Amino acid sequence: MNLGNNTIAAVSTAHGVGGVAVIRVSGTEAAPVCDKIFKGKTPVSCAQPYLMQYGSIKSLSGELIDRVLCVYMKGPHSYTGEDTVEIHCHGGIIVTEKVLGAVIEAGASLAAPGEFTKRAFLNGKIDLAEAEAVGDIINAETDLSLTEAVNRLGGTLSDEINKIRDEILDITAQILVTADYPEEDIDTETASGFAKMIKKALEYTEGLLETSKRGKFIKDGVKCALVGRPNTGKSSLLNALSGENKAIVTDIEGTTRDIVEQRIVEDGIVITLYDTAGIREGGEEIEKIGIKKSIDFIKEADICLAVMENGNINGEDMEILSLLKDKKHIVVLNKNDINDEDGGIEGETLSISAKTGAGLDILRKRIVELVTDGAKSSVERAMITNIRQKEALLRARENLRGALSTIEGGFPIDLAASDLENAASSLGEITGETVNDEIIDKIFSKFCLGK
Amino acid sequence: MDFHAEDYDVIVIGGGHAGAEAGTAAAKLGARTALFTISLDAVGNMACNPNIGGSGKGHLVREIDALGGIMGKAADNTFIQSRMLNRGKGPAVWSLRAQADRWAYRNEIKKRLEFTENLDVRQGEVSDILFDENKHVTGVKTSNGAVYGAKAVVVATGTYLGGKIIVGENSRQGGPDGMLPALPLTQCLLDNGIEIYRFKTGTPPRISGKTIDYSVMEEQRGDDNIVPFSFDDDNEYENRVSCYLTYTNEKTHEIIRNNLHRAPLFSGVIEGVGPRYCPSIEDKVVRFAEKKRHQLFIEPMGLNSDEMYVSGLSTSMPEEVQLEILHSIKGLEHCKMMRTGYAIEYDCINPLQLKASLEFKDYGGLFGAGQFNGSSGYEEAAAQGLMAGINAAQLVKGEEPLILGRDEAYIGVLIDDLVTKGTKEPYRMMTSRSEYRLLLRQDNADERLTPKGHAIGLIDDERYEKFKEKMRAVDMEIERLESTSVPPSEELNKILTDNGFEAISTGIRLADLLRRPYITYESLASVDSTRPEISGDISAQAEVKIKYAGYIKRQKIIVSQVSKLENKLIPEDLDYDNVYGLRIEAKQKLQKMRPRSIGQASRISGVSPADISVLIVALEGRDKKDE
Repeated sequence: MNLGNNTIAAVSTAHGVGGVAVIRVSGTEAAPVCDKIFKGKTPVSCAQPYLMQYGSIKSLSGELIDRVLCVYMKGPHSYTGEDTVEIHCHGGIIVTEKVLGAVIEAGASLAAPGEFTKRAFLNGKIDLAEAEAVGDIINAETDLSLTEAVNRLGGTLSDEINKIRDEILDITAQILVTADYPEEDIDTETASGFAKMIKKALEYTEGLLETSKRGKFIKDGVKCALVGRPNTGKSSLLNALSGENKAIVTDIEGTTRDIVEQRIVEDGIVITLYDTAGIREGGEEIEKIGIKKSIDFIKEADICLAVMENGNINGEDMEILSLLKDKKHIVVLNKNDINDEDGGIEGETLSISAKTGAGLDILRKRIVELVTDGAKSSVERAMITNIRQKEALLRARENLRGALSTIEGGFPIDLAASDLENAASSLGEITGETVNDEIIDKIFSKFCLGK
Repeated sequence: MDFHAEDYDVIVIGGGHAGAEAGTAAAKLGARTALFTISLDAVGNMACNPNIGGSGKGHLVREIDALGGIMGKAADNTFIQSRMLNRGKGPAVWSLRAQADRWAYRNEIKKRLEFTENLDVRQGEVSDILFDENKHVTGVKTSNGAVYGAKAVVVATGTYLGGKIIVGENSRQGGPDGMLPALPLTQCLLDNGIEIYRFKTGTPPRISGKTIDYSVMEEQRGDDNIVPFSFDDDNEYENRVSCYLTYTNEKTHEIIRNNLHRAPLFSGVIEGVGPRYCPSIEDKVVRFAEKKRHQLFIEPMGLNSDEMYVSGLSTSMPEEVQLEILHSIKGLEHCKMMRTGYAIEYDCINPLQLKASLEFKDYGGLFGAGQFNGSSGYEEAAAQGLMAGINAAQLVKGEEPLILGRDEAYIGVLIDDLVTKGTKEPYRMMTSRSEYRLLLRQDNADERLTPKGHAIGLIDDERYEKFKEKMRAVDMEIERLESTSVPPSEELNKILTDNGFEAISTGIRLADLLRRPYITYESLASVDSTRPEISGDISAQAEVKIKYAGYIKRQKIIVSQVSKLENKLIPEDLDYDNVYGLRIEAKQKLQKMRPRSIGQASRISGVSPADISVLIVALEGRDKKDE
């Protein structure tokens, strides 16, 4: 089960406050996805291809985001060779981000760097046999618009990286200046002072790595399974959380037999809720298949909501809970409008009502907190969103640890300089900078040297 | 009236540190060579500081020697004080520096030039470089109208080219140290379309030693155990002089501040770009206003002279201000000035016009070396001169140029930086410019380069055998240290506890002891009963190789990763316009620079990793088509 149907979206214009920004949506569902949020004279899927249409973008909850122009390009006559929709909105950062958010909420997934080009290649729009096309794919990987799209959702990663990098270059310059100018009377740190500075950079690097947990979920989304015995209100909860009536709700136990999914967006993270069949002994054949699916699905989910009926908890609930013991989960005590006594469950519980909506906001937040291990929200912190960035950070961490052990081990401090330079160059890979000249610039700007 | 004088294989313009190496190297490699200098009394002149080596620069001198150049030997024969700098730091940054007797050094170089076979030394000013219709050099013409044919020409004009001397409000055309400048040659280069920069450098006043009060200064002596520059040298040396340390003070700074309006650097008289690492005293006082004092070293210029060099006081202030400055300094209150400090502006090229062989990309057979290429310093000049001389001879012989990698030598770093990144100020070598410092140590320059020097023909068989003998001895000593265990003893445990380690109760291998910080080869002498009688350079190399093995290995891994890119050569005729997928900026930069390898291309500013990937793909496609 993959979160992405194969429809992807990204901002394909450069980051900044330009006049117009273009959000490109590509994939078999491009038009239907946009139909959900684009309100114009004709739905996108029925519109005449290659003709701009005026309309507005409204979020699923009905909020008006922007007045836009929208154009539908039917595959294979598009850049990617797939059905493609381009939404031309006003170019403000917030507006652009909101439109992209709406597209994702409507069912598209955020494009990975280079993904549009990769698709163009896979669809035969670009000829790999000529080899050059690969260049485009790689180019796209560093293409401002694509990485920026990721960065924007993830906060200003470059700023944070540059802060650490600057600090490391500073330390390196201070270490190397005494080697290059052994006879100058320069005030620099002692070995233990350097160790302290490196530790600080190391902590900061680790902090950024920590965000990669959240970053991964920003990119890939969160799978959240609603599990519980029949008729505890899982389907009602799914409908209540998403504001749509997708799951069929009856009083009859075992109504849900297959998995029903619905997406919501919380704190910039796409959460796909999976309503599973109630788990119980017995039941007829089809229901049994559904129950087996539910149990299997628990393994795939990033987090499970164990939905129970407040004041009516029995042994079956406890058995289901034991299935979740190695899984991130929240015990959700539903129907607190009927009964709000404590259920006597050990550990964290959350009392809500799918019917009245009580506690749902807290639940949404708690889901995000739990999957991301409380990594701070994008507003406060930059976010590592892809493997390449994460690997570069891991290498930087390794180098910083090496530098620290050199100094703490009592070796000459200039030996640590190489590790520090490597750390800075690993970080530079994320932001696209080189190291060597900067150290020299720092040396000359900070110290008075020369004969 | 022009006349045809003579034909050569290689002609070198300039007899400074670059020209001297270029001339001797080309001649030794069998090229019929002529070296032209404006004054035969100024070959090998140390126009500025009277020392050779220093941080990073000392590495260059040892590399020049390891390849078969002359600077190391000339310095060994004429130095009057020697020190290994940075001994307290890691082995990567140890650097030799020697105070040289500048007159003795000059004579030594002159003698070496004169007695090199195949080399003619000629006083004369080259005013034109001659080219054929394909922009290949055909020779040079002197100001007297003598035309000399040549297959290759090395330009090593230093600060002579378009030289202008500036002292306060006074300026005049002139070369360094009272020499004549080389004036018409710049126009010849410009006429041929070569891009010219204007750089500036400066030098401090020289003062009379007998008027200095040394008693109030700190004496700085040379090392007890002197390491010579040359690997091919078993002589015992001793220090002949001391240097002295004093400081500027608030009064000095006030004099400078009060006279800034007369400083050419600030009044707009100087247009050339000066080096940041060698700022004049007025520059230091302005830029680092918070510093209360700057240190000055008083360095003897030679054994048979009273002239003293005031290191740290480079200035182009008016002469009377220079005197006032000097007299404000402790110990110099009554000193007499012998030579006035000055700034010198000169013409040089944008080194991006050069290939890694130091041949011009667009002018076949024309090479550049030294300050002409935008560098600064005797050692940087000599290193380039050596490579330009070698490659000029190789060109004449129809053989491949010798190009050193960034992982092989500081010389490689120096040239790669110049021809790939270019420079906006006179370029000085520093250890921080090398990313592979642990590999490019001064102690192993012979291991890195002597085989290359031998292969190309600058190192004779006798010296090469001696070198191989040394390397065998190093390996044997490493082997012995790795395999020899020493038992626990009171003696050993004292060494350990003295250095902050716990005492041991079982035997331990010598190599494992050496790998610990603070424990040195020297300090283990008393517990190492099977230690052989070997020379200090052998044991030192064995020690470094064992002690820092982990660090060395890590750098080697990085080198092997990068070398794939370095070894991937780009055909000189590649048309970047037809490489699909390159960004326009990268296309333009690459088209202009025409890098030799993918590795070099990756260091060009404005070429992104994505562009490099595109380039690799394009080259692979090209290879396939060729198959």
